[in-house]
Amino acid sequence: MLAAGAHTTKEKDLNAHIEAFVAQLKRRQIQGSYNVALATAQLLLRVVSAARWTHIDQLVTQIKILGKRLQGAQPRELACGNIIRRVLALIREESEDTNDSESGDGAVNSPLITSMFSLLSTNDEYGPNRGSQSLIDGSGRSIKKDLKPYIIEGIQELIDELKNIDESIASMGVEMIHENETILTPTPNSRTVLKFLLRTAQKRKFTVLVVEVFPNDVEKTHEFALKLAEAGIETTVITDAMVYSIMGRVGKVILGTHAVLANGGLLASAGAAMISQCANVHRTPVVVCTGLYKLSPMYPFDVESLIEVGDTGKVLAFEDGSLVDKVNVVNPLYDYVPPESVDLCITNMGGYSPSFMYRLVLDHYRQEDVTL
Amino acid sequence: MMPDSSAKASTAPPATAAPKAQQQKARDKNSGEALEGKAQRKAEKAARRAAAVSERGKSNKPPAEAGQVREKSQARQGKEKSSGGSITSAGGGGSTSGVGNITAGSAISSLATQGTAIHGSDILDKRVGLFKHLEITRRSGTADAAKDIHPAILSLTLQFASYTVIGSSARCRATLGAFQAVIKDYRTPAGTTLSRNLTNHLSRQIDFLKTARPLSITMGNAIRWLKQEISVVSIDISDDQARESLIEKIETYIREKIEVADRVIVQSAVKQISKGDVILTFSRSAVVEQVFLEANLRGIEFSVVVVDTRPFFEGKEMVRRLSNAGLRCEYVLISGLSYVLNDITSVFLGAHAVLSNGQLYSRVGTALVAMSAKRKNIPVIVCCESIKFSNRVQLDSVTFNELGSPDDLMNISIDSAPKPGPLKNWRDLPNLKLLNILYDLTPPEYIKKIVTEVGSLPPSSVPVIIREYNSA
Repeated sequence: MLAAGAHTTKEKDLNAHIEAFVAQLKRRQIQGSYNVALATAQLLLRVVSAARWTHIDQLVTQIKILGKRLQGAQPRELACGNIIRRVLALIREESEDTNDSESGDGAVNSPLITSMFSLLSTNDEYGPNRGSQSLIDGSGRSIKKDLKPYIIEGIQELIDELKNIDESIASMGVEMIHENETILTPTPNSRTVLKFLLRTAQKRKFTVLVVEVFPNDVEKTHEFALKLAEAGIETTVITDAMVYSIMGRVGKVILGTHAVLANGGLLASAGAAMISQCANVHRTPVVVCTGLYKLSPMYPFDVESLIEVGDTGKVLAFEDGSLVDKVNVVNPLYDYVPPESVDLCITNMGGYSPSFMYRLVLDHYRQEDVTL
Repeated sequence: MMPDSSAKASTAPPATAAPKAQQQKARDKNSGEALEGKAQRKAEKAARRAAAVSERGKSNKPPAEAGQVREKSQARQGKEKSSGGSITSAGGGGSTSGVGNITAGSAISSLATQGTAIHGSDILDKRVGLFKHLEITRRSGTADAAKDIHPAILSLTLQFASYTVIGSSARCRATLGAFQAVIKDYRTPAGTTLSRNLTNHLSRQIDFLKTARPLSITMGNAIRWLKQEISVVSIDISDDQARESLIEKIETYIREKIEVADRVIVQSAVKQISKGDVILTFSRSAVVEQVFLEANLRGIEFSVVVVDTRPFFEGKEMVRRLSNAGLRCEYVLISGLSYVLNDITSVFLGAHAVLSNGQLYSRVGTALVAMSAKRKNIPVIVCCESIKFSNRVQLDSVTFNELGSPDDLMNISIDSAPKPGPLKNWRDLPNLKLLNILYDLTPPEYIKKIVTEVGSLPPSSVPVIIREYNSA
């Protein structure tokens, strides 16, 4: 929330907006990593524009508090927290940049270049101490005024990056798919994968096997298949159970994901784990198409807590009353795919192997922001 | 005629076949149910004419007539189709991979649908290239049945076609029961003996049964045994006695090969269940169900996770029976398999058949379950009667399988009320296909052991059993 004592109409508007956003998140009116990420970034833009601070760490604290609230509204939507952390890293970067140029002391903080050695060095004081240390040294007042436009510019760039992600990923398609190939896609609810395939189809002729993710995404699957077929791609819809029987004839498995974790593992739609395993057994490459905003600095220490469960009425209809009483029904929405199962991650910044994802985490997020 | 048309087919461009196919499609679609037969005959004539003329190239043969003649023509057409199919893929762009060449315009599909098929030619234009060698059987009524088909067979055919009677053992038992009725009502015509004529009579019944669904391995084994029994019927005894003895023998066969076998398997498999186990099973297997019920009866405390898949949702029936017996059950669809696999102690699977190279031929999805379990070092136990052993060998699930109706995928409901999804009009899009296969092949390395009534054995020992016990 904004600084105590904020009573101007503008700030009241902003508070109302934040409240509305949190409510929308809670009610799942905004759903899906992309939508949540974009909405969060736009909200942060407004917050930063309206915010006032004397020290930069006040802004950091404000955003952290807001971020904690937003993350708590949809706890398993990691994209929200990712954007918050990106913005925080941005703010810290800007402040350290300015500080360095002012005080000419680059060695103390090592802001931009994160080497492996900084990983190993223990940093006991995170957050306010470290931040304020660098800033109190410089001339306080003049810095805070200069930073705002840069931060806003940074957030704007982030929003632009979000909007253009699919474009950059799709352009890598021709390098991945050859003529007359058969592609299997186990996550048809992914827009990124759809654009990837549609773009590649302009230059290559290939076949796509679309796996229904029954019951949660089956309608999206069917629409995905319709779109592919309308674009002239040979599309075949198969059920989840058929994957093993058909995998021997598949050239590549291309999937989208809900989130990428810091160890390179994925949180993808239900069924993706067994399909990736199936691909491993048949030595079929597994390729993930994801924007970097889905990369989370979290480690999957407790995988089950990350997996959301959905409406059991979709698995066993509630009309079947006698059965529903006696039987425990589970409908997991996501699946954890371990990094060993994935061969390549294609992001808007290029292709990386899953073992490299931790570096991207280091590049984009700050250690002190991991816990909001 | 066959070599001619196929030779000419290679020279003719595929494009000419496409508008013909579309016309065909339009014609068939527009005509109502009543005119369908007429249109079919017309189309058949046109097709025959087209096949005879060299420039036309490929032809699209409409549904053939019902009856025994069908089998012969089907065999002929089947050969034509396969030769024509391979030439299409060669002529259609010279690509090596058959999969990449699933062009909708290819009209090489001589029909295998029999009886009152709905949208006969439509189904075939929309077949997935990989599986073009498999037939789709469709049957909605028995109006076209020949006069000598027994009513028990008629009703059984409909039960098969609507998946009311489903499952390897159940189908075998039902078939043998129907045969008992057929034999009971059979009267040897003058001029021939029972041992010679009954076999032919039964063959006609079997051919009609095949129009609903292909025979299961158990049915194949049982029929082979029955024909053998009929052929050794002595000429000296009267027809009445012969019929009675045959009916008696069938009864014994069912009892020995299915009921007693199941009991022995249950006794053996129950020893694999201990207190605190969480056992996973896939879809519905009658014998696995009996194992669980017996273990429950013995008071062993364990719980069961049933993994199910569409379009049949057989697991629902399994979970219903188990929970009614008081077992603690969990129910999940196959996409949630990885989520539940963490707590599982063992996996029990049923079989449609076990092949001679140790591969398990079972409901589609079984391979996924077995693979996932093996990767987590969870033992996989298959319960299967020896009647399910087959002499066949097979390496993958594509070369031999059964195709189901693609419309089952279009329907996205989870209960008996059909609910058409976004793919309601999937037939209109030439590039869109729906694939519905019924079985898959699980490699022997995923299976710990197979429990049969002759003992527990590793999958590699199946041909030994077949030879020693002569059960196939």
